[in-house]
Amino acid sequence: MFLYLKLFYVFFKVGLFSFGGGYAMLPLIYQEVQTLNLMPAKEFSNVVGLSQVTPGPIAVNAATYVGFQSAGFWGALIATLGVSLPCFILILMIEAFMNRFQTNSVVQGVLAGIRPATVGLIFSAAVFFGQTSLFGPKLFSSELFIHPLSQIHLPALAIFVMTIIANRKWHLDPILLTVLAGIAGALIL
Amino acid sequence: MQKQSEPQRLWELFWAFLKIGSFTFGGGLAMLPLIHKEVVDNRKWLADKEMVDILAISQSVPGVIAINSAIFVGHRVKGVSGAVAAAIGVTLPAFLSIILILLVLTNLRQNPYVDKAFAGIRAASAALILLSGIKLGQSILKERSGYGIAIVSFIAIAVLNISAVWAIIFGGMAGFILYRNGERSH
Repeated sequence: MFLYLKLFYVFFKVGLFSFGGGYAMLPLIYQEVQTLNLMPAKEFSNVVGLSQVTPGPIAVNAATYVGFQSAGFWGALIATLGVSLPCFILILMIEAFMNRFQTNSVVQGVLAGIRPATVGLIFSAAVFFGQTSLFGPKLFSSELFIHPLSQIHLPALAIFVMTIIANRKWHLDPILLTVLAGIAGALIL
Repeated sequence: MQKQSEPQRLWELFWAFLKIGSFTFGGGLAMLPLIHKEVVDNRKWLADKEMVDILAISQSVPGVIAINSAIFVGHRVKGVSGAVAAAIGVTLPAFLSIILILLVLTNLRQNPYVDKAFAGIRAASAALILLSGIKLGQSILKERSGYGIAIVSFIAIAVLNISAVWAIIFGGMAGFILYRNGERSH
């Protein structure tokens, strides 16, 4: 019961504070999942790959994933309800005050400040996901004096770099890149 | 427009959004053009201009963008029950497909190749997130203040491990102060 409440709380918060869609909400989910110990960082990192190869919004994919892995079907349902509920409350409120919302310059000023913050959020997500996917496990042990670069996982780094090149130079789309990375991983990692 | 029975209209909303939610991979932003086409061109539920406004607001307020726009359209077409029908439709494919894939994967957990494939996908995911950050940065960051807000929120979350909620609140407050100063200088 307590676990269900936790899941609802986490994803309600995620829904309420997610701006800019997609990846911008990942650091918040990551932090909450770590704080409440819902699943290991590595297991959580699978969420982006899974949401690339499944349909629908990343937030719903993530809520279902975290909910299902930590508390089964009902956990998945409760987390998904949690992330959707703020949308209902907010949109129905906006519908009631529509004109005032769109023309209110204070609201527009606040939103203009939040937009650049979401860029910072996405870069933080890149750091979190880079840590768990490009570095060996020793980096996070309690041993001192390990140089971070000595722990880097070179084949994983190669996939990381190739993904960037393939997208920037050849404009391959993220879904195809995810599938290719899976195949490459099975072969070289 | 011909008059339709209430349950039928709800069912149509549900189906339209179920279809949209089923055929867009890689996140909700890919859905927006499909929503526009289905709602304006195919079903003729809303006018073009109204839909443009709805999509713009759905992206600027908090919440899941695809669900926000589904709730908007559903509400305009058929009130609160329409909003619920559209939201369930757009969420269901994402929900069911993750559960399905997890049920299949549990049986493959022991397979080392599946494990390695996921390690490869994780490395690519980190790259895809970085790429989307660069792309968003290029389109959003125009002024020095924007760069400042982005850098502060990055350091707060990634280096100092402060909750991302505070970065959002900080951005909103900075935006408010900048707006105030802009007002005063005019």
